[in-house]
Amino acid sequence: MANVMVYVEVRGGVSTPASRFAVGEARRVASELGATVYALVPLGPAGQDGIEALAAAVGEAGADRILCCCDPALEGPPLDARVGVWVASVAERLRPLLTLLPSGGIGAELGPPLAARTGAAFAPRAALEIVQGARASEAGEQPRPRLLLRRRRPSDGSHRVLDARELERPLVATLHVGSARPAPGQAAVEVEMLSYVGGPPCDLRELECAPDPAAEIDQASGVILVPRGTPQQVIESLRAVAPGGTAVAAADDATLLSLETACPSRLLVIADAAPEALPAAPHTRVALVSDASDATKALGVDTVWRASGAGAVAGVVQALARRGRAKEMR
Amino acid sequence: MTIAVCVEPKALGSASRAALALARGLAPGHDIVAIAAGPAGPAPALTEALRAGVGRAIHVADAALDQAEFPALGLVLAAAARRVGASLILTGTSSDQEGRGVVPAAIAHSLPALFITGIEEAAAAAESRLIVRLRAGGSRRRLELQLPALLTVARHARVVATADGKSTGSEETLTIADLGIDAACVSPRPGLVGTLERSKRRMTVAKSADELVRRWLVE
Repeated sequence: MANVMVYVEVRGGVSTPASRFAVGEARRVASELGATVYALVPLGPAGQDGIEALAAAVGEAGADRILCCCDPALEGPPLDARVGVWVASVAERLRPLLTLLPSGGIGAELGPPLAARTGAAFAPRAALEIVQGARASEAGEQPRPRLLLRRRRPSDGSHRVLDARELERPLVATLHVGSARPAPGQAAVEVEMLSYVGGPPCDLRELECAPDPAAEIDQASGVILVPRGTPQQVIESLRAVAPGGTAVAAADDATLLSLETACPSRLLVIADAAPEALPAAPHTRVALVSDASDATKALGVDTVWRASGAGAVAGVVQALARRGRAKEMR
Repeated sequence: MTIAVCVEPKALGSASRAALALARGLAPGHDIVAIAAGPAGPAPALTEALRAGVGRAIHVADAALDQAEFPALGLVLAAAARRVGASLILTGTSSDQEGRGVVPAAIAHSLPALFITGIEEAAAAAESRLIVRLRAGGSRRRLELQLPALLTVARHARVVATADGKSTGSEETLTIADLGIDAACVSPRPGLVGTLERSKRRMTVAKSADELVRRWLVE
């Protein structure tokens, strides 16, 4: 039976929303393919209660089994130097058809080295598709569901499609952050504790660790980007009416750095806030508010509203508020 | 210290520019070598790197690298970095074309070297040591590391490096044989990239903010 492996990022003792979404996506495709979902949970030293709480959340998200490792070497930043060899050792054991990493910096940090170590293909910000009943592989054989990975090329918005069956090698992918969905799994799930496997010793010391003011962006299923210098009061008014799971941020340096590795399901860019590279999966819904004639060319925008200035932001706030009220009334 | 900056041969991407700027910010007193690998042909990105103040450029140009995938490019770029004695290898986080960011990991795997992505700032510390800033695990972090290392530089890294636009460095062209690599080791594996499809999505102009929001929120 095929295996699907998912890396679960833990922040402050809790699995991240992006990780739980990745487990849910693994569950969705594994159910179609008849595969088993293994969730990898690397932790620093942790108590039994903490592990059980994590396991319950990851199990509810859809994991069949949880492989957990608690070791002092896993404390601190989740870098390839600390986690990569352990993840590769689990991949060596499970031989997964597909390994999923959640949206955010963790995917860029761990995905490519895992692909290099295991000889896998790598697809960042991928969408997982199951094609039913197409292409029976041999005469007389029942057609089986096929797994396709689709990703968007940043240069021209075209799609690269990888077919797991034709590739005949493992796949490593990072995903977008989707909306929370009803939990498809069970809280009571088997947890296996694994030993830590590290790489060659490396001299790497953490000198400073401070909260990242833009940390919510790579965990958000929606992002609204407003121009640099937008008053905080305006940002708060957008936050008040934005759908759940949506981050609202000005396009300052911290936001743009976080967006480099983020991948929301919905991105709304107001006026001149557009980043050079769009953090988008193939089905990320992108809306733009701008009256610049060339603003839509590089972005792969789905919908544009020609407006600018304070009226543009105010228009979006009012429209989101009206939509929210209409939804409440329904 | 010799710093190798690995770039795409055809055109410098925005992240590669940030890597070059970060390397120049780490100089003076260090040698910077820009390296690109690909099929035979011009490498305008290296010309631009030389204009940006890099002292030396190496172009590994070989027909065997036509359609080479990331493991092969990693092998070749690692060999070139070894040849120049680089202890620090910088790249952009990902190219503007494919945007996968997988070649840097292949270089680090081939060397082997410590691999860290998304560096925002770097400063030389004591001998063979570097202090870097990055975001990881929801926090902003400052780390001290021992070289050798391969670091990828974020597109929006705050790096300040100026150049007068005059090229004073030299470009050297090598083949994979010059690096002691057999052509069989870099045979094409185009399947790793996947097939290309045109996106079917088309842009719509909304007549109002309400229409924009309705279309944006539709599942």
